[in-house]
Amino acid sequence: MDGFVLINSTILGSAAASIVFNTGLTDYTKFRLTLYVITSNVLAVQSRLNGDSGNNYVRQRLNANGSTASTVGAPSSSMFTGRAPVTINATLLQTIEISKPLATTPARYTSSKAYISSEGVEYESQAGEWNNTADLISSITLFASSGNFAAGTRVLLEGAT
Amino acid sequence: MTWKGIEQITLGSTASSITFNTGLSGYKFFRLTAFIVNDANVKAVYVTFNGDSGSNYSQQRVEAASTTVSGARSTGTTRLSLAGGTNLAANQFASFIALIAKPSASVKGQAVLQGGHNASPIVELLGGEWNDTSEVIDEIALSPSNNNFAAGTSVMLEGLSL
Repeated sequence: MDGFVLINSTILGSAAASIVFNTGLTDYTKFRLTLYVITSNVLAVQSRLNGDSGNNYVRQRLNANGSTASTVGAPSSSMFTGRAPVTINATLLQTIEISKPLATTPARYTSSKAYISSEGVEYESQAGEWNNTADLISSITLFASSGNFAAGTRVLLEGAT
Repeated sequence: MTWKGIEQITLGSTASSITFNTGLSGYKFFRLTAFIVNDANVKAVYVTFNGDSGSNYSQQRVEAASTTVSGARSTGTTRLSLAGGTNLAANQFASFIALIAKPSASVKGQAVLQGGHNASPIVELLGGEWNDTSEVIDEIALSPSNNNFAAGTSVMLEGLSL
């Protein structure tokens, strides 16, 4: 049995508003992303599948900031998104797992994230679903809610069949 | 490039720590997959880098136990601390997966961990930071807050040079 294999990776040499993986993805049904994001402005890392910007995403988020653990649910959204830190020059470390075994099944999404805000280290966990039952995943787009990902941002995309 | 196995340590007898300090050079990301068995009451599992026992760690922890979710931030601590707050008795288990990143010596180390233990049981999530801006990671050490890891404890370390 083959495990996860490398699909693609990128290290930004200059700032960019998005990172797109759109080659060879339909060979896989499971994806794992490892993100180390550097940002010079306040942003949340957002993602879409197959370029779908319709309200076809469901997500539930758990945030921890100090002694406060809070939850946010979005039953109809146009993307997967996290909470934006409240300061600039933050770094963010995140894992994302996406599974879509068949074109006719929706995609399931989970992520874990740690980031640095003006309040200190924060943690966020998220689970969600992309309500598409017609296509395999052919593209994964990561984009900044505002501004850019800074140079030095690194993303690894792995896939499994 | 992709994840590479660096080392797996499985204890045949009790040990006070598990240390990975060979073959870490060149990797910027690390993944720990840990199965912990305790030999006696243990409050927490500690993680440190490069032998740094100074007050150079910060963490944000989330714990879910039964119907209660709670958060806690710690700053200026001497290690990252998992499964804290509850005593694990002998032969109880904890497990966690950790993603650790320090792409260059000049940036702080960052970690995301998720795991839990079977005393209660609980789910534990943690974001952590190692406040070092002078070194790349060349050692990762795990230790119990007290007593030892028991035989059967198994920890695998992988690395990524992205």
